[in-house]
Amino acid sequence: MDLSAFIDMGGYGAFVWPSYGLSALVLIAVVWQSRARLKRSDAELEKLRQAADAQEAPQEAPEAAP
Amino acid sequence: MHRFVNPIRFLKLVSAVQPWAMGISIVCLIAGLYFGLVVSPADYQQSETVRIMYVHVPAAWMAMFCYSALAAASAVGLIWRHLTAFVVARATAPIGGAFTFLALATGSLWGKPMWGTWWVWDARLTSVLILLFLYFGYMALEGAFDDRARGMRAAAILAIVGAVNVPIIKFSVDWWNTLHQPASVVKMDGPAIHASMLTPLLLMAVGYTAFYFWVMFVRVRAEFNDARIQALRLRQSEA
Repeated sequence: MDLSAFIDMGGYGAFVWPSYGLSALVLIAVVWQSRARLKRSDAELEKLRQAADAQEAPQEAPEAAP
Repeated sequence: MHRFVNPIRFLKLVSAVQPWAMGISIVCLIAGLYFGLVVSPADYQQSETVRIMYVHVPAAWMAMFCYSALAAASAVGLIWRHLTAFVVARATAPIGGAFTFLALATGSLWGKPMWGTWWVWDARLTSVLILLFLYFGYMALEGAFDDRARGMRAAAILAIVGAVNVPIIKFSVDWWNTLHQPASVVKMDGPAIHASMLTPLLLMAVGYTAFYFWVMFVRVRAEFNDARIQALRLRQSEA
């Protein structure tokens, strides 16, 4: 396969490649943003759960002592 | 369907299916790119620009598919008051909006060399532009209320009313004399394009569909996380 002919796309490279490039860019951006959001919320949830556990632990301890 | 209304069960299903959707999407998109850019021939009329079809047509299909999902989920959410349905609708909107933008942008890049213009106000193009604004409207309305439940209901009503636009898009090329061509793949008597072009088109379509489910599932999980975070914060502030 001739690479320069492939890039040229019969003279329509300026329309074909931006179509594919833009599609890739937008779809990758959507995935990236969605995954980043999930990761952020996973981390936040974990932090809050640990804080909740830490809060409950000392409250239970005095009750169990006597 | 009622089985999956339970958020915990729904989340389990979503988490189990998500990696499969991702795998199917990536494999089909890579295969579709190979068949679309390398294997498939140039068109005898459109020459190499026909390759734009492989990213344009699936994006346009998904724009309508996602909107149908958005409207259906909104209706389920309103009628049966299922929060899960609203979460699916919320997760769907930005993905559908992205597909609609891509359908318009790649269509423009195809229109310039083939029609001689980037844009024309014909029925198909205009109705798809309205679809993009419906997605924007849904997202704006949904975030415009302090009370999230109210925002979701208001946006759901917009989504359902806007569903009128979906058949208008579909049949716009038949009802009006548009510059855009009528359907050539989904036809009563079978597709009117050759297998060498149908293969990459269908691969890309399956890849895009799986992409929607993959990303929608990721967003649904983030939505449920956010709801839990809110509940935990509320409990901590009360304690």
